[in-house]
Amino acid sequence: MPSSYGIAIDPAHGQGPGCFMGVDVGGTFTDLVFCSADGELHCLKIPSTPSAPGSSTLVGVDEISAIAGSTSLRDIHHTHSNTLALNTLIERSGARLGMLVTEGFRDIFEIQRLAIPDPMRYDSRRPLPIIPRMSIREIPERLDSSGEVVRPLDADSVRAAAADLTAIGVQIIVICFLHSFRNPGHELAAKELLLRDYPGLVVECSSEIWPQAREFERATLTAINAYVRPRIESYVGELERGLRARGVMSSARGSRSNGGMELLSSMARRPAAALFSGPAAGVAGAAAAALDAGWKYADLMTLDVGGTSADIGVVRAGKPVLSSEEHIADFPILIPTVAVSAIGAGGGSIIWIDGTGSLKVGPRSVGSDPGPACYGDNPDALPALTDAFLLAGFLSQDHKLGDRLTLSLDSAIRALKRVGDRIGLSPGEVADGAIRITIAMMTAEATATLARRGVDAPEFRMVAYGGAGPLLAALLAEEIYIDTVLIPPIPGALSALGAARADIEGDFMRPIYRPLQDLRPGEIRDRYDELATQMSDWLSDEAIALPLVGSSARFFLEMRYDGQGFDVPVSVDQEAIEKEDKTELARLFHAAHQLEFGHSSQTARIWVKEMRSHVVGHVGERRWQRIVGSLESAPSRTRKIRLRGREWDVAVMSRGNLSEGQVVTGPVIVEQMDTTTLVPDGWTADIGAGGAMILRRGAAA
Amino acid sequence: MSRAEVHDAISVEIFANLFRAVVDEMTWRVRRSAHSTFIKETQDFGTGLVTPQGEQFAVPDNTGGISLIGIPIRPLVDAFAQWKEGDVAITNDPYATRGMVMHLSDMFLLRPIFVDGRLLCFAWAFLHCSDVGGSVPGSIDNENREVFQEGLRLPPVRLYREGVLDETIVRIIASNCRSPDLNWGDISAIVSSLEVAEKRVQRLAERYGAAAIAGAMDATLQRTEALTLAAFQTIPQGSFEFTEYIEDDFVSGTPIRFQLELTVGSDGRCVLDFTGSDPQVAAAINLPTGSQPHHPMLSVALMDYAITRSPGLHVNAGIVRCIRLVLPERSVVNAGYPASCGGRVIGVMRIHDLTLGALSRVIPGHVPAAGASQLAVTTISVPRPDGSRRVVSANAVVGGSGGGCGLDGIAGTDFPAAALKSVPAEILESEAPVRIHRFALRPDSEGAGLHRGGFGIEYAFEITEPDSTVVCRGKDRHSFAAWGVAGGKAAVPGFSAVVRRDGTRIDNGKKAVFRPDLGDIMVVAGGGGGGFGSPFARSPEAVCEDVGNGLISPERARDVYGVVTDQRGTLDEEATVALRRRHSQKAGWPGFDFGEGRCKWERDWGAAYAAICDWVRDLAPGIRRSMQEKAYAAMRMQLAGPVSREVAMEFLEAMSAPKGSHPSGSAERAGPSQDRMEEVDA
Repeated sequence: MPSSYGIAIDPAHGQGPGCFMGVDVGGTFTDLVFCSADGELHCLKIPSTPSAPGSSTLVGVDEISAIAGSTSLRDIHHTHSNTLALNTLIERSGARLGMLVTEGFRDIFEIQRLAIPDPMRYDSRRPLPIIPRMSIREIPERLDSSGEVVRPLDADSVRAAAADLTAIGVQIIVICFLHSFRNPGHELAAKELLLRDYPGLVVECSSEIWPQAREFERATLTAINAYVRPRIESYVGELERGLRARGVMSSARGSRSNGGMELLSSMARRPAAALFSGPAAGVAGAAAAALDAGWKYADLMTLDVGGTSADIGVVRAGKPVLSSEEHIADFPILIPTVAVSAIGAGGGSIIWIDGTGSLKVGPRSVGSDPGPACYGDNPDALPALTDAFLLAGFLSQDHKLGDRLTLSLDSAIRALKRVGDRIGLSPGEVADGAIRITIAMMTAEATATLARRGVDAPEFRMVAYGGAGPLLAALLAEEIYIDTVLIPPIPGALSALGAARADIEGDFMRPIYRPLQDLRPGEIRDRYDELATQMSDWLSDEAIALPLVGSSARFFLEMRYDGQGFDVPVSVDQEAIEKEDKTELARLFHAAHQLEFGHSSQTARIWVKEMRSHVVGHVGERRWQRIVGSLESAPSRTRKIRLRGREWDVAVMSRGNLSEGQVVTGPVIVEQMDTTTLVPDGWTADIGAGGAMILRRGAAA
Repeated sequence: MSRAEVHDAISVEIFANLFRAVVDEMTWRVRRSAHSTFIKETQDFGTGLVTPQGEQFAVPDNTGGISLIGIPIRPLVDAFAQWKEGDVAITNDPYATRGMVMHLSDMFLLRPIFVDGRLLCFAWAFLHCSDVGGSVPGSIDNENREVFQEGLRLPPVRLYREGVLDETIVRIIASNCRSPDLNWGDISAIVSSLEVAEKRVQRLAERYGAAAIAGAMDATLQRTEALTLAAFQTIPQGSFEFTEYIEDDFVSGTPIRFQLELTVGSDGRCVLDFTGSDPQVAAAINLPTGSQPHHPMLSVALMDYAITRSPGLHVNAGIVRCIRLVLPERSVVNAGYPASCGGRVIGVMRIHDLTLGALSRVIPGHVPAAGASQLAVTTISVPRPDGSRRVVSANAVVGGSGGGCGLDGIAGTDFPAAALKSVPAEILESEAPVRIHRFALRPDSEGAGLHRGGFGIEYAFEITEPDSTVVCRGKDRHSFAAWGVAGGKAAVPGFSAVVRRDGTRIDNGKKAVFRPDLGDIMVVAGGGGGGFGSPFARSPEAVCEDVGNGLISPERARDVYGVVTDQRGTLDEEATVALRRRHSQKAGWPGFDFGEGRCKWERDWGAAYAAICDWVRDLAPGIRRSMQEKAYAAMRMQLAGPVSREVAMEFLEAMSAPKGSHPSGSAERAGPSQDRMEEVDA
């Protein structure tokens, strides 16, 4: 198997470029990390500017210029992740689209997959279609499941539909015909007809976006892509112009939902592959942080606790787990995405009492305005989890949270008391109870997330980040029997750092969808050759002006027993592909199934659904010598915390005071600029290689 | 509140989440490795943790089986004098489990969880097997008259004894179904989920102590019960009646009547009294509920109402504790051996509408109007080259849900079936010789209203290989449409047809089994959902949007909604105001619209049928339905509607009068007369 796919490898750049920058544009803040040529890592937090989404990045770049001088930015490697695509979808502020579908399937977006999100609730409904029925036209045409033409494409209907749709103001048309994932002929022919008559139209074919079986899901992905694309293109244009004006001459890269990166200009054309770029960069950053600490091929659970949610991801053998079954805003996303599940348990989650007098946390959040009660002095403010952290002593009112001003303990107590008075609990008891409930909720979510991947938590380690992740990590770890937790050096900017350190990563697939015994000779080989060519072309395009230190590719056959609900990816090497030995492929599948589920069925029929490949263009390690600013030291103090129903006097240390090799024994609190870490009783913490803090259970001397 | 209770206020939420973790993990085990489409796409399986008394205290809230949440597990718990560690019990027998198993397709499995040698609780799971033998592929045909036609019946037995698999049982199951590999794959998945539950609960017990777990089981049930009562207290106290029908029983043309009196107490406790419902029928629609005082299948509407009203509710058997049932013996809602019950989902769906009707008498609009309420499950059996046959699940057709709760109904699906997913056309066509021509909404099929019902749905498909059998069971509401309320209109009913290659169209009615010729296109359609509130009160913009979307015709917009618009949905405001002023409607309260089918039938035969129902009540239970069928058929033949109660009673008296040596009304002699009826039917 070729190792580099024809891409020039420059050994001189084996250590990667010295200077790099990573940006994560979130809803409230934009995080930037910048590593200077002499290895100084700077972190910046800039308020986001939703109305001009590129602006906050440019403000950050100006600040970096001021620190490092603009010449250092000229050839910098920089990668950008953003939530703009996702927000455009959630806010429904995308483009007006039209669509062509196979006759008989106009209701593809009305019916979706029939089910509603919450079948036991009378007020649950499917998400509103991205393309209304009035803008969808049926076209007489039909392929069968092997891609053969059953009914030829009716060109007149395509022209009539185009006239019709443009007349109602549609400028972008999506095409999704049945079985186009096997044979894109009709979609491409329709596209050509449309563009011939209406050269100004933008036309997107489902077979070009992601050629996988399942018409609703593929149509959805194509529609989402077309829907968010104009906004993303204008953001990218604005950003690139702004960067050039600031002397940044190197090509911008964009993070992808698979945890990798590509050229930002490529991302702009296919933003559906970047919907989840922020969380994906976070999980990828967590995987990289584990590697920095010397954890090679680690199995990890990641925990990111922010303002509104707790996000849980899974890393196996050092790589974020990708899934094609993720949902975003209730829509399925077929394209491989770093699997992250979220529950409404973040710093802003509301603490309340249900009808039985029982304490509850979330899923509603106070939001960033007004925020938790302790952010202000509103006497009617609702108590949120952050208020509980403050009262329980997990956070200190003197300690700045991000760029917030100091927190008001009085406001927190007042809000918690109002809730506690209703059920006869003191504010402290409410705070302690709310934290324990939050841990139990996270336990349920973490268990389900890991179970979904077929893995068992005790074999895993955890990486915790985000504002409150390190605060709760050890408590959650205890509950799910994880013994080791890693807190990265800059837990508050892990997505930005993950973006900066990403490799070029691409996913490709070819449908097969045939019982194993029915495969035609050469079929697998042909699919492999097609994938290899496509990957190689893509990688050489993406690697422009970016010397790679190597590349690698893995090929999988997605297989399942007849009728099964999940595919098992069976890793196949070139030899197995060349030989096309069905008995051997069946053996590989049985073994993979046995490994994954503990049983296999030698007599059941096997289906081969598709061949997939994942290609990585390695850019080399991006390291830094020193982190500027975040690890300031301060004298140690003690404070009272409330934990497990009792009060403890704990030492409060500054992260900057801890040196490599030093071990502290819990209970202890470790503060740093962007987060606070709780090391409970029964745990120790030490600073490992690369500056990460590692919490270990039961290791107390 | 005492200190102990106060701390319960925190620990109950903690444990409820920890229990959720266990059942979610069970669910993922099953979902990941199960083999059949039923589990893969329709999610017809369930998992849970069960108290030693047989109550589910934790169930996942994201699988399909709401009608199995709170189902009594006690009968299976009691089936064995002694449970040992490592035992796994299995059964699919309704008549050995007193209302636990509700049809043969559901395999129930139970595994005891011991901590320090003492039984702490049980892990439970069920799955809908895609086939358990019987008269048709997929095992369910509404026309089955006895349980013996419905497949293998396995009384409670130990599949595993102290961890050792009983191969005999595996062989018995394999020999009695059409897809043994699929079934065994699914059962293995279930067994592995029970194992993981045991491990997880034992780990929880290690961490928190068995006593704390036991206490938390009860506390979480009590808390759900309390929240459910609070939700039910939003319904005014009182008793509210309603009547629903299945328009015919699939075998005799006789309707099935469901009668309900819902009583809401001051403490929120509800009683569902089904007295007056029809005797059990000789068709696979019966609900063998085993006279259980609490049962989810008869409680779906109240359960959904409680869940909708209680954000953050942990769903478990605590909900059905608040709903007490009064069930007449040997009735369609409490059937006895050997009633067939394979297609009981139609009964469940109709009882859902029945309860919505009673609720709509007191809180109209706070629950949906009636839905399309059919679950037409399509199964295809195709020959393999070696002569064996392959069974493929090929989509279910439901129909729209009713409008209400401030929202329009759902297009194409109805609440009791709303967890069910369609199979993508591209997947189905790749796996089976099927070509789907249409999976589409039916314009103008909705029950009009302020909040209109959801649109009905139409599924048209063709089998591309010869010698195939198509089974489409559970079709319903072809005549008695979903009703509307508070001035809302009834919907358009469903239908089923076959379009032959030469273009002729035949009505396929509600017959389940069809053996198509090549080129036949089968069409199965579900009706719309009923509307809530006057359609004249609906916002003109909303009507125009539906018109623009091609879902409501401009004519219907004008005639039914009083909105004047063109094909594109452009509103003519002036004309609309004028038209609406002219037609200003005043709906009677509670303003039910039962639709043409039911209204006409009730006008002609409603009083007569009620008389028949009263008449058979005095007969021996075993012959009530056959006499009901016989009397109804005779009346339909000999009388012309409308028939008053008096005329009907005279007719029945004449029927009961001794005729020579064959007094047909006598219980003792009923057997032969029943046999004769069957001959007539056949």
